Amino acid sequence: MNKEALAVAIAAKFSDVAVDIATPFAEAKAPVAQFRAFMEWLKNDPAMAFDYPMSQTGVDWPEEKKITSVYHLYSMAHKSTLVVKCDLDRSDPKIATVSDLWLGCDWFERETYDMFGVVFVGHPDLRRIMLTDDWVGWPLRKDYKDSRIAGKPY
Amino acid sequence: MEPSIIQNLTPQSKDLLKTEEYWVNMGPQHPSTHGVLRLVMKLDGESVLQVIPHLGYIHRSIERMSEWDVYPQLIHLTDRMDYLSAMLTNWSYCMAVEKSMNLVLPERAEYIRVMMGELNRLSSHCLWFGAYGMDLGAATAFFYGFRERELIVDLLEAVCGARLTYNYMRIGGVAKDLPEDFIPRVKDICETIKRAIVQYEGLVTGNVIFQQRTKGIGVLTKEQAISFGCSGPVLRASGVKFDLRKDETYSVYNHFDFDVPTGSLGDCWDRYVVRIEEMRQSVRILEQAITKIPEGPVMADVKSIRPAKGETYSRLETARGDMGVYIVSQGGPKPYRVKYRTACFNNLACLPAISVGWKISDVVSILGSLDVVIPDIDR
Repeated sequence: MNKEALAVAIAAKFSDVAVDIATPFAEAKAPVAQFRAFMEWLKNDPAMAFDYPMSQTGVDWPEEKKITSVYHLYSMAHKSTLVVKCDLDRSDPKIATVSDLWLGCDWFERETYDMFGVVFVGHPDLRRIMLTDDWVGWPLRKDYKDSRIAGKPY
Repeated sequence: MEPSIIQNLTPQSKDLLKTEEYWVNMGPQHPSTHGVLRLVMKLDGESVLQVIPHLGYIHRSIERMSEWDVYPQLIHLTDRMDYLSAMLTNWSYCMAVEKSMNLVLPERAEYIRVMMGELNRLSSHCLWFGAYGMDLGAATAFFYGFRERELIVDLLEAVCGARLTYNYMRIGGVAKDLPEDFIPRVKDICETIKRAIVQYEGLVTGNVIFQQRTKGIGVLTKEQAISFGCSGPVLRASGVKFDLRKDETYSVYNHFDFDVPTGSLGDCWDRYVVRIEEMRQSVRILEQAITKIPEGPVMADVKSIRPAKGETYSRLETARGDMGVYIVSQGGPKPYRVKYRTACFNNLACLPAISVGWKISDVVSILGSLDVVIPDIDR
């Protein structure tokens, strides 16, 4: 399915989801309220069939006071790619988990929680994955301060 | 113990046979975890009830470090992720930056990259063969695997000066052209590997102990493999015919004729067979590449490396599977955010699901067959 067809199919089903097709892959921007229903539809609808989780991560935008949760999905059947983005409030980033839809998202979401402090509501085991459990702060946020990385060490 | 024997025991003896549940730490310093991975296992006797992997023992924060430096200075960091196929991780990063700049490479550079990539894939699979044999108690396999790997690593050293962390790819091409004796040496290596694979198969494939340790063990179904985001030989062994070199082709892979081997059941045995077959296919690609490689420059004309504002996601098939690089650029000389999606991260994620119910020694076999490189997971 090409970018244009994806945009048409999404617009017909979810009018609140904006799709950008000027980017290398089609990019869907979902509001937090509709996010979970949108992802369920992408996974389960046979015309979409996005069954392969390529990547999930976060991007911090301190000036706009938001953290974007970015999902890269791939469909093995249709060989199509879709980027789903969801802007979260930086002071209290919360989003529904999709770890039950894509098993691989379990660890992806734990890593995003570890690095950005995004809370995935409904995640079965939301712990830090790379850092120790008693670590303070969210290291990939732009305003993260740590005496060990205060300046470039070289 | 045979069920019939247990039935004939006296009640007192049955009480003595009772096992209890307990927790065991495997790693972080354990030979079969191939690095610093810690598995916390809940066992009943020798049977595994639960596996909890603890990651991060070699987390170096490469993604944060990537925000500090300009684009060309990040290439060497990618060497330190999947260090057994560092050419391919180099390549996947460079390809992502090139994609964000819409840079077209000279054809010779693409051919050199393909040859380096396939040589590195071979050396990585040779090492895996040796290490997997070692995991299952076949020490000879280790020497066989390293014997051929040494030839390839020597050649890569002649090309770029390093044996493990190459830092050979550049944004826009490769660091320098091939040495004069490169083509004959590759020919030699192809012949050696073809002979060696016959030896590998004679030594290990037909071995009854090896078959009993791998056949039917750690079955990863097709649906599980896709849902976990597994890739590379692990995905293909589960019966999914998916190879980025074919399905989302990049570079000059469409110039070559090669097959994508798949398994059917998704057990350790299938993962072994798929990797051995992949080595044959890599040799095929190399043999075609040395006859087709054109003359010309090895670097594109790159003036300044400042990708336009926006984002890129590129995918490349490393020796372990799908490596994705996600770059968010603000138009400056440094990236705003870099995310490395590495194959091993997802390939290990399926371990708790597929090792439950097996014996503790089977977990070693399953872990070996997944071929994980820990620095690639922790980044």
